[in-house]
Amino acid sequence: MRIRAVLLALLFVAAALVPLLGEPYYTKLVVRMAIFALAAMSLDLIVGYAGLVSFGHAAFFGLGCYAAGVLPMAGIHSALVIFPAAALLAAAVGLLTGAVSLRASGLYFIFITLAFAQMVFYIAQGMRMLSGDDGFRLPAPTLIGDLPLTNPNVLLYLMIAILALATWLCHRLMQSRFGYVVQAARDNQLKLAAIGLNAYPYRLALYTVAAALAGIAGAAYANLTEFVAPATMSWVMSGELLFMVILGAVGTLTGAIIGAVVFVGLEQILSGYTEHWLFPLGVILVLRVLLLKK
Amino acid sequence: MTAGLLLEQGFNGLQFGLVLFLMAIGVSLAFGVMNIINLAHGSMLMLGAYFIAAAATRTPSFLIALFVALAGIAVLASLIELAIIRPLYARGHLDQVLATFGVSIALNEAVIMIWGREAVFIAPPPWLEGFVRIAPGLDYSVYRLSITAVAVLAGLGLWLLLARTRLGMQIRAGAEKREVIAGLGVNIRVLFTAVFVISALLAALAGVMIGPLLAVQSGMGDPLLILALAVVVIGGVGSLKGALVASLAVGLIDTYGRMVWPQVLGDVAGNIMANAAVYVLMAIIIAWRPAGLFGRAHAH
Amino acid sequence: MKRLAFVALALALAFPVHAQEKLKLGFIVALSGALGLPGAEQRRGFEVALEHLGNRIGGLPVEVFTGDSKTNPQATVQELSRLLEKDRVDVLMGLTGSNEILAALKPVTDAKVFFIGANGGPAQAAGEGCTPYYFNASFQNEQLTEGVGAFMSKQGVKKLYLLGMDYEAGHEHSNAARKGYTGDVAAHVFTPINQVDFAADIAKIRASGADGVWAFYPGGPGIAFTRQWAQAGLQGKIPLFSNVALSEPLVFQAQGKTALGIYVTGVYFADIDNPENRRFVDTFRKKFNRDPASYAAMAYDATMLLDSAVREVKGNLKNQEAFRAALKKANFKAVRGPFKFNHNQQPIQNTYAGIVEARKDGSLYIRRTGVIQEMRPDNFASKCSMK
Repeated sequence: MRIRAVLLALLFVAAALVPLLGEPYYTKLVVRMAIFALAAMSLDLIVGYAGLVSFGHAAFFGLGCYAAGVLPMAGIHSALVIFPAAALLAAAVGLLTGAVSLRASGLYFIFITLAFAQMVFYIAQGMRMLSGDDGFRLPAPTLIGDLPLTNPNVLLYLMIAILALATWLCHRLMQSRFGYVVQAARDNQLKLAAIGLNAYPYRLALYTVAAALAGIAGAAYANLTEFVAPATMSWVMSGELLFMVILGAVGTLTGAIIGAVVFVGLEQILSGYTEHWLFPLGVILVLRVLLLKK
Repeated sequence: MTAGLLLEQGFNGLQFGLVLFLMAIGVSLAFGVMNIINLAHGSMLMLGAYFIAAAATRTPSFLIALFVALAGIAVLASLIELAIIRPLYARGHLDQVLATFGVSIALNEAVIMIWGREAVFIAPPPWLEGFVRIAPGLDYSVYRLSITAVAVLAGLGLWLLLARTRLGMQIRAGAEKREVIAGLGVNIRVLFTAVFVISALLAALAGVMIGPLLAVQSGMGDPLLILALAVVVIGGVGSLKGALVASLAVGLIDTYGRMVWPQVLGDVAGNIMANAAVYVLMAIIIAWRPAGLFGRAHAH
Repeated sequence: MKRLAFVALALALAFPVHAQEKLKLGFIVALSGALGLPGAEQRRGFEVALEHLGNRIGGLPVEVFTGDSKTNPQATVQELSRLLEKDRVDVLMGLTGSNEILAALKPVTDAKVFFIGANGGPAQAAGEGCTPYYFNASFQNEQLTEGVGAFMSKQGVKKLYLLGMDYEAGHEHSNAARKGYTGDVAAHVFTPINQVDFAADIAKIRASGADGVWAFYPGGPGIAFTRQWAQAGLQGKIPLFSNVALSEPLVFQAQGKTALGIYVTGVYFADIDNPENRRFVDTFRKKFNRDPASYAAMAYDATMLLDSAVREVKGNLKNQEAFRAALKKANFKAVRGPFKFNHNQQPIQNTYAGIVEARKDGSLYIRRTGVIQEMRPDNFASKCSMK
């Protein structure tokens, strides 16, 4: 555990030093890694700790993205409003959909999370005032004080801070009684019932927290790309998030972070070599699953 | 909204539902018997269409091309089962979802690498072209009717297989109580491979049939796979009856819905609902009956 | 005399003509994703152009950096970051989707690198979002379709049924199709993006008694629509109008005979008769065994435009004012015919109508029937404040 914490700290320090290279490309790459690290980590709470495979997590990521894109249209620019709003929107949808989804288990849970994500996706696609499937340009950057988050250096430091805080929070959460109940439920739900505990409310709370974190990542993503589109909510994106979770080690927060870093890096490298970069990516995923057990 | 239109849409909905059924039983069987989630199922549909397109360029007979294509799929499916699926039986759902997701990504791209990005052309066989008068003033495409016929035949064939053959009995036993068939001295490995190949063949058959109607291109099976997953959830996993009922229901709801929703909810909301209706139904069913309409609660 | 020489020398030293050694060109199109097929065609057109130019643009040897926009505006931004900030290209060309172009406007303006669009042009980029760093060498979206309304009326359509895919371009094009149409409209329908089974809509068309149909479906859905249209027995019975998105050389193979008789509009057809196009089509046919689609021709023209501009400034791209002026001049002969830029750096060009027919050997081609819009600028220029 200690080693992991040290490694993580080193990673954050390394990330913080990247702007010194003076290469905006690498800064943006690292920001991208940090954003997906947060999203993947939030998914790992559900998948790794609660043992539930959600194939609809991208919906929350996308909702955060849309929040950051729509609020400036109403004249709201402050990060102090936008990020909480993104988290709240994602959490609200997470609470509502989670309440239904968590009544199912196993196969059904996977499919129902996919179904809800599809619904959110179709709604976003259908919103003509937001240019539907095409998406729209970020009307104005989210601001911290006077600093725009569209400035990659600013966004980088913010993401490092958010990621560090989120990692610490999730770690504390999973080490608490709450976390033990959730993990116990993953391992044996019957035993839990025997001691009079119903996993449902715990899981629902966790699902909601995970959604909120993904929403925050989404709001950051809108600032990184300065564009908001339904593609961020697609089932393909949900699959990519799962891919990141498993690339690392499922059920460890640092694993999700590493997985995101590796995935973003791999994608960049592979698509630089060939337009058929999806093929090696698919193969790598299969090999990762088959060759490396948890 | 004329009676003729309603009738025509009824036929279309039935046909769509039966195509979904072919996809859904594959998924349902795989999960019911082997407890495996296979997201590469959509790729089997796609490969079925591609294989018959490739075979059709080399032989003038549609039936020979069909046979060759299905044989090819059987071989490919066996290989995939041996190499990738077999290790996954003992693993959890996450591993299965991700590994088969990876397979489908790789296959979708492989198809582009081999056949290029252009959509491929399949023509329906000449003896299936033309129209037939199914009602006064309503000419319905012979080809679409043949899809219905083939799907019904495939369904019957599957039922016969399950109800009347030894293999079928083993499959049904496996779906009910997996532990029992091992005790019966059945070669589980062969059984599982057989089930996987049968599922793949059904999906490929669906691909072969809808190929001439649509564009044969990479990823063409994925939207249908997602719908088939919804069907399986609604109908209940492991239940053939559930898969049939749910497929037909989804097929009809989707087809009629595309007509009705825009009229009832206006253009914007109507189109959203036309896309999302099946998922809404899925959510409602899960909320009411978490194991689906005819499903048995699965202990895993 | 000495004074003159001194002044001349001083001037020469004060403004050194710092020409480049080579040109770093960023070519970014959709190589994967839903628009991978048109993107690949754009690349073919680009390759033919480079071949004709001897791998030199404006006389400079060219180093090409290829990017994949992945049919995703957010991926586009990421790729642009790589091309602009890591590879530090001198100029950008390409993009396939209109929303990709929208996403690109700010990055290229911030980086002060000129981007020549080779396919499509969203309204915003032509209007209030215009930037001096974006030149559209292809078409503003509506230019592909506008004029067809009057054309359809001329063809005798009295009751029109319009169908489009329910996304931005679908609305843009179908609204453009109605302009100038003088008859009745039976219905103006938008079908959900994912829909690939049009049996219901075709049945409704039949029931409506329409005597003309205008439909906009690109890619896979377009192929599906055409096949189902023919299978429903309406091919040849009710005239079908569209633009090149529905039917053109890229999809002829997949559509087969079902494409025959479709009226298409566009800014380029392979049978346009001028020496540049004949040369282009000739080389393309030799290399790829079929007619070029408009995506290839647009990319070809974009390359030739760039070539003419670089040549004009003698390779000195550092003087951005001069380079911009050179680009604006569009002093090149486009394969599509007459071409010039409007003040918003969008094209002023013809829109043509054609019909899909079969040659003696059975292969399909679009036979141009006439010009339906002559040297028309786009409709959004007034919203652009550039001079």
